Formats: sequence, C-alpha cells, structure tokens
Amino acid sequence: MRWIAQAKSLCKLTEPQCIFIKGEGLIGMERRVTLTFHSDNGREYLYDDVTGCILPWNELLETVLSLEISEASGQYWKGLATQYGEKNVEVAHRFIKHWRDNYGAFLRSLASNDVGTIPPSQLETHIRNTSFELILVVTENCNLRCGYCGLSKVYSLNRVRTNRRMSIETARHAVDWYVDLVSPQLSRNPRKRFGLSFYGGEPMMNMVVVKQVLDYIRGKYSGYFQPVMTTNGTLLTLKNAGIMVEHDVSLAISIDGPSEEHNRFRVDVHGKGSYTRIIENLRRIKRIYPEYWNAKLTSVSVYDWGTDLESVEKFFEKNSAIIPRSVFVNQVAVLNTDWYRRYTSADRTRMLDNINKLRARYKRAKIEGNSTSYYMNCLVGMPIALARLRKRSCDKQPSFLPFSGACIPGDKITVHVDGKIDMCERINGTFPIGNLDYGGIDYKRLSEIIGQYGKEVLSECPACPATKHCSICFATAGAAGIFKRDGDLCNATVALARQRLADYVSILEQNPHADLHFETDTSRLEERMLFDY
Amino acid sequence: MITDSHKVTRYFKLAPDCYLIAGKKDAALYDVHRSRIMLLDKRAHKILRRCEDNVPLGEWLGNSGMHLLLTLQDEGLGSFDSAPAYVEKLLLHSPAQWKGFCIQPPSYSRVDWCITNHCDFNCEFCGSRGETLSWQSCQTCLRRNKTTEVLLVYNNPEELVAQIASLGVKILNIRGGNPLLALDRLQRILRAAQSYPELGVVITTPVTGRTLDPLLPLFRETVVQLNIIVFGLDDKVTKAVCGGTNVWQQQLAIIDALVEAEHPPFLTFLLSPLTRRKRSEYQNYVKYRWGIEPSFAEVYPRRDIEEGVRFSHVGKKTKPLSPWQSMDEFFSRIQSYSCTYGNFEIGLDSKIRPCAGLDQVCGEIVDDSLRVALSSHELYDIWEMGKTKVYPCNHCALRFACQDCIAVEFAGSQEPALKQAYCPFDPVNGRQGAHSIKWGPPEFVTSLRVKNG
Repeated sequence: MRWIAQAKSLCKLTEPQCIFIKGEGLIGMERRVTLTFHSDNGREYLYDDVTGCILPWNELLETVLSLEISEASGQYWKGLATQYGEKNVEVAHRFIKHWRDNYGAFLRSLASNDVGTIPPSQLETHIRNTSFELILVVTENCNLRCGYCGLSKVYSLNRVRTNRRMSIETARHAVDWYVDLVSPQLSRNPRKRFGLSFYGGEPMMNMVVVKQVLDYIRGKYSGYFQPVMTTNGTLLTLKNAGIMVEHDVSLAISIDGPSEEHNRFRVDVHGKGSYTRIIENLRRIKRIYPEYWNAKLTSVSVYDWGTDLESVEKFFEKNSAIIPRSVFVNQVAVLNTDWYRRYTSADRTRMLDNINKLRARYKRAKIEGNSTSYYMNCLVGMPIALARLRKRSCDKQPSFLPFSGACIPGDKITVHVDGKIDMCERINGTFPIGNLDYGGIDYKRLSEIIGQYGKEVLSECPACPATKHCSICFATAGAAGIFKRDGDLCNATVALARQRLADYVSILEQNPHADLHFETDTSRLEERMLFDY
Repeated sequence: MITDSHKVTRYFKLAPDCYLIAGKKDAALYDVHRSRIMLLDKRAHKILRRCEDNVPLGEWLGNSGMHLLLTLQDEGLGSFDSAPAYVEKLLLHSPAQWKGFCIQPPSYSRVDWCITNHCDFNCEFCGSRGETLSWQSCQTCLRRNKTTEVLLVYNNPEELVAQIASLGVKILNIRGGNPLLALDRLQRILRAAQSYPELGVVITTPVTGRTLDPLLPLFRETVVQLNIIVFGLDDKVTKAVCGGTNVWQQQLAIIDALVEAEHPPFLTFLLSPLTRRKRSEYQNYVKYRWGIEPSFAEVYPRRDIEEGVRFSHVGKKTKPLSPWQSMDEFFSRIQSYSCTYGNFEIGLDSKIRPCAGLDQVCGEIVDDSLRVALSSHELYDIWEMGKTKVYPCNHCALRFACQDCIAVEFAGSQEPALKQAYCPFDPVNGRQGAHSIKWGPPEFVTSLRVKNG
C-alpha cells in the first residue's frame, strides 16, 4: 500500500483540491467539490456537487480520481495496476473519465464573475416573470405574548409588536400593485395561482381588513390567488372560521405540542396558556366544517433546547384526529437573539439526542415500509427527503444568484402595515427593498442588496461541496444592514448534507422503494421523473 | 470464465446512467448516454434484476451469465463490486417540482386553430362525426365535422392572437376545412399576427377555391408559411380521392408561383389507400421539381380500418421507435407525452382539445379568454400522460423509445381494434416477444441474449 500513500502525498504536494485549467495560458482554477460518506452498513459513497449524483465509492476509485486530477505520471498508474489488477484499474479509470468528460463531474470552476451582479432593469424583468407570493402584514399586534416570538425583544434586529394595523386602502393598493407586477405571468402561465398570505402579529386581530381583501380579490381578481394565513388559532371563532371557509383560505395554525409544552411559551397577556382555546376551536371547526378541516388546516410547530421532542412527537401522532397534520417543525431561530441563554449545553445535548432517536426510528420505519407521523416527517423526514429532491446538474439558478438556498428577491414580497416592502417575512428589518407609496420595489436598491449578498456571502461558494444542500439565505445571513458569511454555518451545512445523504442512502440501500413523501402547507410535491426501473 | 478475481467480487451493479426497464413480458437496458437500447431475453433480465437487487453473485450466474456481466462492464454499463450498494440513477433535474404557487409555466409550442369547416371537396376519410377523425394522421386539413358550419363563439380574433402570442406559442397553425374559404377571418388573424414576430403562422390548406392574391401582401409582412395539402400528382387520382376536378393543375400552378416568388410552401401528401404505394414517387417528384422535402399523412376511411386495413407502419412491423437526441429528450419522454406536449387545438366550437385528432375537450373559450380556458388541469394531464401511465404501453419495455401517437387513444377508448390499428406489438399477450421483431432504426435497438448453462 506504500504507493497509495505516495500517490496521495503527490496529490497533497500539488494541491489536490485545486488545479489550473489548461488552455492558452492560465484562465482559471477548479476545485474538487465532492463529499464522501458511509451508509449505516459501512458502504462508502461519493456525492458529486457538480452533477448532484451519488456514486458508490471505494479506495480504488478515490485513488484513480486523485491521480487523474493531479495528472500523475505513469509510475503511479503502474503501482495501482500492481495492487488492484490492470483490468480493475482500467474499469475504474474509464468510469472516472466517463463522469468527468461527459457530465463534468468532480471539479468546479472557481470563476464567479456574474455572482451578485444584475442590472436593475433585468432584475425587474426577472421578478415580474417569477414572483409567486404576496405577503400582507395586516397587523403588528398580537393577543399572545409568546416568549420566543420574532416580534418580542429577544431578536434585536426585528420589528416589534405594536398596535399598528394595515388599512384597507393600503391592502388594496398592495394587491393591485402586485397584480400589475406579475401581469406577464397571468397570460404566460394560466394555471398559476399566486399566494396571498395574511401575516402578523396575529392576522385575525385585523379580520375586518382580511375579509375586505378576500372579498376584493374574489370580485376583481377571481382565480388569481390562493389565500393562506398563519395564525395562533386562538381567534378562530365560528364567525372567523366561516370567513376562512367561504374564501377557501389555507390555515397554518401554531401548535407546539401537548399543553405543558405549548403553554411553556404560548401565553396570553395575562400569562395564561393558549392550548385549551386552540383545541376547542379546532374541535368546533372539525365538527362543523370537516372537509375544510381535512383539506385546508395544517399545523406548524417550533421547538427549542427545552423541548421533549419524543413526547411531542407521540402527542401529534396520538391526537391526529383533532390536531391538523404538521407541515413545518422548526427550531426557534438562533440568529441575532439571546433566547438560548436560558439553557445549558446539557439541554442542547439532550435535544440532539432526542432528534437522533427520532431519526433512528424514522429510518427503521422507512426501511420496514411503515408509515410515520406527520410531525416526524417534518422534523427528521423532510431533511432526508430533501436529499432525494436536491438539485441536479441542469437545475440552474440565475447567474446572479447561483449558490445558497436563497429565494430570488421578489419571489416573495412582503408588504408591511405602512406600505414598506421587504423581500420576505423572515428577513430582519434593515433591508427594505421599497415602499408602495414610492413606486413599489426600488430595483436599484435591490440590485445593490443582491450585490452585497453576492460579495459577502457567496464568494467562497464555488469551492463548497454542498451547494445543492444549502439553506443559507438573505434572512439567515442578514445582520444589521449588512450580510455576513458565517463560516460555522457553512461548515454545519456541509456536515448536515453529509448526514442527510448518509441517512438517505442507508434507507434506500435496504428498501429501494421506501416512501419518503412529505407535505408542506401551500404546495405539494409532484413526482415527475421518479419512475420504475 | 469465472476467474479468481471475479470470485472475490460478489456484486454487480448497472451504471447510474444505464436503466433496466421492465415490460410485462420483455425487458430492455437503456444506455441513456449513448442513446441505445438492448433488448434482454428472460434470462438476461432475471440476472440483471437480481444484480440490481443486490443479490450476491454465485453459482446461479453460470459462465454465460458472467459473460453477460463482463460484456456490460466492457461497455461501461456496469461494474463489479465487493459490497452491496444503492445506485441512484442519474437524473438531470430534481425528481420533483412544486405545485401550487411555484408552478412553472408550460412550454406551449403549437396551436392548431380551426377557423372554418367549409371545404370544396368531399373526401371520404374526412370527419363527419367526431370519432372518425381520431383514426387519421394529424397535421392535415381533416375536419371534425364536415357538415355544419359553426359560428365562431369568440368575437375578437385579434385578441385571441394576442393571447396566443403571450403564452409564448411558437407556431400558430390555421386550419379548416379550407381556411382560404374564410378569407376575412384569415386576413384579420394574419394582420394581428404581424405584431408578434416571435409567432410563426402556418396555413394548412389545399390552396384551392380562392385566389391567394389578397393574402400575398400579408405573407410578405408576416412570418407565414403555407402547408399545402396534396392528394396526388395527377388530376385523375386527385378526383378519386377528393372529388375535385383539376385540383392538381391548380395546385401545381400555385406552388410554381410561390417557389418562383421565393416563398416555397410545405407540402403534405395525404396517402389514402389509393396512393399509399406512391410515397417514393411523390417524394422524388417534389424534391426534383422544387427542392422541397414533403411530409406524408396516412388517411383511411373508418370502414377500411374496421375491415382490417392497417396503417403501413403496422403492416411492416416497423413501430416508430426513435433514438433520443439528448439526455434531456430522454427524460422529457418519461415525464410527458411527447406527441401532444406543448400543443393544443382551438376548435370551431371554441373548445380546447389536445390536438385536431383527439376529441377530448380540455376547456372552452368564454368571453374571449384563453387564460380561463387553459387554467384547469385537463390539458396538462394529457400532456403529462407519458406511456408509463397508459395501458398497455406501460407494459412495454420499449415505451421510452416509442413515438407512436397512441397512448391517449388507449386511455380514452375501449375499442380493441384501435390498438391493433396503431401498434404492431402487444406487450401483454406474450405471443410475440420484442426480440422477434426487427426494430428500426438499425443499431438503435439490439439484443442481449444469455445462453443457458
């Protein structure tokens, strides 16, 4: 095996991850962008971030690829043939060359000239042809005082809870403006329904405007929008539910778990837990509008280091007759907050242990062909399923934003109570992109924001082996008016990608037909190219 | 044949870009990168299925089985391994797309717009009832209903042209009947199309009955192409086919004039039972005279098919298989129905159908709004009705190589004669294996057989 060590040392001497493209002079550099990982059975695989493919891997293939990349001399190839046999080396070499020559696998150019660069006029054209959701923040007020709420003071850069409400004039203006914005799509894509999301605070604290907007779009823009609302569920009275049913509004209701978990933080102004009120509302809706409950109600949950995830998962499974199916289970945000100061590292470890136990249960269930709860699908199943749904070689993002998991600004547009426009509901308040009263989106400003994001966050992405697994976006990289690349977050993304891929392959190694489906609140996945073979 | 080195390698897996596609009775290997298919006999299929299922290699394989695997390895279609593995097949795109808000715009490519039922001829294969039409070749002048002139429900053809253009449609095919007999409508449409240089216009017509003079100025200002339907190269045959007199002489003069004016038309020959043997003769004539490569469309009276007449490709057992020109095309065949995808027809009754040859209504234009007519799912369901979704095509190992326009017909019909009329191969009955048929084109489909022992 001495020659293998020599080959590897050769690669190290010549910077195996970094070579020059040959041609007329020096025109750029390439970097190997692959991850190796093992299934639970110990089988080695390689994930190639250029093609998005997963390939069974072994030491011979690894060595051949290293020699090929480093353009090693004949002596190393001879050593390889002696060790593995000429035929095996030939087969491995042909395999590597096939993937390099025909699919461009393993190496990515580090050139990134266009990243973050888009003229304002092109940006406007792009947004008019791609935007899919208008989010109306109809109120900044809420009847609950959830400890971890994004509008509380634990997030230093976020807007805070106020008594401000959106007027019907502003709401109609926003809708009219948005319909004009997406007019090219109305004719080009007749099937498309644009999302119209009512957001808050608690949006049901401004039901007068919500109802007026729903009536307005039904009268003037029939068939254009699919309305959705995220609500804490406490104001889901019979009257309000009737309005939701009448207008076919999809409702995502916040429920964190059983009463002791839910009421830990989701309390009213008097500190009283909200669990009982929500459950009563859900029971009533299910009794009176069973079809609506089944089709349009979903639940969204958060957890933190203090959550007993195993018991929460059991709760959702046991109470699926009354708690709508889970579509999102997220950890309480960790950026720009002091929320987690209340916990110890032991709490964090306990939470991670809990998640790992659930992961093991999920994998076992999928291998054995058993179903799992919606909550489990969201918490641990969705990340594994996303390994299957990762982008592939032809799933290109726009040249100005080729990396990271960011939405293209303008895909979603958030209009605040005062007409201010943000690129989404999650981004902190220091990156406004326009105002309804001043002509809508300020494309010049937005172009600058994208340029800044490209420069500060995406500069090292071409060398990353997990770009197709990245969830970093404008919201997660945003600080006070600036974007910052968080190296730890990047490393965590790579580690998470490796774990997801390993979980994914571990399941399919033992059950190639495992059902990895999951649901979201507003969209469902359409299989289009998974076919029997 | 089994050497020591092979005894220590215990598994064999096909390459990620080589697909084992099973049918009911047959199976095939699809070498996606090299655009070729290898039909497998039962033993070869069984061996490869077991390999794909991570069954360790052993005595069950035999020397001939090992020879098969070595051959595949030499072709770069698979390799031996020392441990079981999950080999995820190569895909160029993520295997799912989001519905709902994020739905991507479809790629509308061609719209057939029937603007009149009027015609001077009385062809026996032309539709008198809706179901007759679906037995014929498409892209002709055949009518769904030749007896009734239905009034256009939409009042504003200019608005409809604008909406068609805004969909991103590449070709607008104006058809009839004979659209020259609805000259006013035709002129309004052509004038409207002048505003959309991206929209190519084709007029499918026998080009008889009216002078082209009023249209010629519009031809010069718009991207318009005539698709002239030709019945034969002499007036005797033509009269027998369509009932018209001196039709060929009229067509000849017009084609000469168009070629002279450097505006050569497309030519589509209707091959009826009377003329189907003259394909080569017609092809040579028009290539020699005008340098035009013609198209051919087979047509039959319905009673002929009911009495056992078959389309020529059925008789010759040359199922229209075609290699994919790119990997993208291969994957598009899997996810969509390649014949209808991107196309729809606007009927004289303002109804939307997938094509002129299918009578499945997918929407209706009301208040001049094409958007509303195209906003429901029916049309797209047919576009996405790949051959995996339709019996018996989904039992055919050749389903991703087949370009036969039959799947939608199968899905909508209970008529057994229909299947026989289109496809020479029944993948279900097992009386005839795919191996026993010579598939074209050569070298695209080959056989891999394993001898016993």
